[in-house]
Amino acid sequence: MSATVLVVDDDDDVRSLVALHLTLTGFGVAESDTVDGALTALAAGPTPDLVLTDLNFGADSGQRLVEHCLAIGQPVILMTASVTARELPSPLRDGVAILHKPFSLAELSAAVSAALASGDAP
Amino acid sequence: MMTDQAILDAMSTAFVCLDADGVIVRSNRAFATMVGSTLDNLVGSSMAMAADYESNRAYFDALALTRADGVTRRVRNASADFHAVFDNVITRAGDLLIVEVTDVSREVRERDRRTELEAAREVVWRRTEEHILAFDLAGGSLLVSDSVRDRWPIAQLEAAMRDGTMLDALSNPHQWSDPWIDETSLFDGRVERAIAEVYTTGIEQRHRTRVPLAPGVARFFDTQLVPWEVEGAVRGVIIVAHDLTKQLRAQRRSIFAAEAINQVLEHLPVEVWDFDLSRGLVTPLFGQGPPGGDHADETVDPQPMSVILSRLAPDAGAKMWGALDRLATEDSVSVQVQSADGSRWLQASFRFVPGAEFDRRRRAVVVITDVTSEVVKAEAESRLGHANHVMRFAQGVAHDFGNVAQVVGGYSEILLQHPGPEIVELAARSLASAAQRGVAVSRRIAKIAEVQQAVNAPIDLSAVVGSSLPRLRQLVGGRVTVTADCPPGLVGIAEEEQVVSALENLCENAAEAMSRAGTIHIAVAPVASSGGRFVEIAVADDGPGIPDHLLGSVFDPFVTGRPDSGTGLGLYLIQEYLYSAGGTVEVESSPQGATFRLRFPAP
Repeated sequence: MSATVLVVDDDDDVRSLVALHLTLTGFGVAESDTVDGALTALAAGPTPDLVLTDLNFGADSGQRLVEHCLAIGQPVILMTASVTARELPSPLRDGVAILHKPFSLAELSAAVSAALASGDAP
Repeated sequence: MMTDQAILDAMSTAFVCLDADGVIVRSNRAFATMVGSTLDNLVGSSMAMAADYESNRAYFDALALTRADGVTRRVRNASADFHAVFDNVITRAGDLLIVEVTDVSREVRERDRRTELEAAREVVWRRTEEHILAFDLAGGSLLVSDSVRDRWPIAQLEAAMRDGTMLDALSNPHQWSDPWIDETSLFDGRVERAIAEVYTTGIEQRHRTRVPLAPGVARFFDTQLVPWEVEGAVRGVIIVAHDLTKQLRAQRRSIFAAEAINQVLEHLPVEVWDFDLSRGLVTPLFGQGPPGGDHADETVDPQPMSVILSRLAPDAGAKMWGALDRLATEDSVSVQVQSADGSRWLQASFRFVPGAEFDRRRRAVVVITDVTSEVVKAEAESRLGHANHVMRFAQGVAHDFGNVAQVVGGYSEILLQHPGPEIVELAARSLASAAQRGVAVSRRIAKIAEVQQAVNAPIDLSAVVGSSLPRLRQLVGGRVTVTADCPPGLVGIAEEEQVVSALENLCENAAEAMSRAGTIHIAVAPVASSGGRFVEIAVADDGPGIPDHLLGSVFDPFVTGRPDSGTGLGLYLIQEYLYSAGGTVEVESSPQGATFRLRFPAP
């Protein structure tokens, strides 16, 4: 059974790209364009194996979602166009895998595999 | 004999004649009945033998001594009830002793009364708040109240009184200038002279005196010098000194306080002028004023406004006169001007003073405050704000172009790996969309340069709003109504293209925010604030308003509340433009709608 990934980004083009790539590489993919939508999906289940979320949602912030995932032990990767780590809210600097935009699809696959592997380990 | 007896009886002094055995052989009226009895009987019946044993023993001793040596003696004794005091003069005449007895009760009582009075005075002196020194210059003694004795070094004075040196000094008026009292001990030469004058003339004097107690420590007194008269003759001088030290200190403190306040005020960069608007003349009320300084106690003639303007930069005159013009319609007006050398910023606040009805003159108060530090601070904040702007802008650009690059790069990879027709179509659509976004962002960025380079000049903003209405109505579509209230002839400093662009952006945003039918109302009006005079274009919609979490950052770059993910640069550009044009933009929002106020400086 293939692993499932919840892709959360308000940028339609980026989200579609990530979803398409993950689908083509054999993952089950769910999408959400808002933080609230993602939180609702997580609460409703089924629980994805990995959450891949943007940070900048305009007025909203992906930080909420990342913190929620960390709290419930949900593996999560943060995608961000922030250039430096200094720009990230401090709780996100440690313990969260970060993909800096723009990233190559190979980097994306590597990050997803690593996150899933560490999530399976325990 | 009878005649002799009659004479004796008429004497005010009583007498008895005692023989060698002490028997009264003769007397006048007072003791007539006692003739034939002994003096013991007399004393025993009328005198206080037992009660005043000492005085009676002296009396009988005197009788015995005079009988023995014939020397006349005088003794006093009292009646048994002490109400009467007798003066007895004892003389010997042959074998007889003659005792003359005089009732001195009255004199004794008088003396006692005087003693009591003095004792009472002494008590009063001891208790008095005032310091009393009584110079008994004739008697050579000094009486002082305890308050003096306790505090003042009077030993020297007392010595002078004892030695008579004080009397000597006073009896030689030409020596009065020679201090007979060390100047640091009690009085200065002035009081010394005054004592001598009061003593010799008998005329009261009053002085303010300083009594040094220690180096740098002194007390101050209101001193009254009163002649001390006894039975019509001046016996000495009584000095009553009322301590003023506390009072003077308080007074001095208040003077110091007032002085300190003056000092502070003088150093405060504040000045206040009375402005006679009818005549165009100014009068300094307070503060630095023109050279020449302190005007607190004088009346200063009104002067031409040039006394203020000469200290200011050349353009200050136009600003100040402009502010005064505005006082015709506004109660208070403030302008910021630079000092002549450009080193300081001054704020001149004009406040109209409503005059009394009979006062035809129109008057204003002008308060000039140094606001250099505020202006410098504001400039620093503005620079910091600008730096933040640039940083946020850079972050926004990086984010947007990052997304574009992400999409372009990602689809390129997918196309290389999965060159199937469905993927190609999907990728092509996304690539086109990403390209469009790149174009939009770069256009907006280019606009920033445009905004900064706008040529602002006085234009009729009412006319601009009026002429752009058809275009705005077209832009928002049929479901949203655009109304306008633009009184003709409101001129502001702006560039028409930028104003129209701002209106378009605001109307688009408003229409986007309104899910259904609604109204956008544009109002043009003159406004004044502490920053000066402006023409305001207010764009108000009756949509849902701006969410609270966005309200504080709507003018930040790349912040957007629009569901179509606009570039988030529209309001940022409006703000940038207005700042560069010397205006302001503000937003108010409630659930009943949002209002953007664009203020353009009035010429």
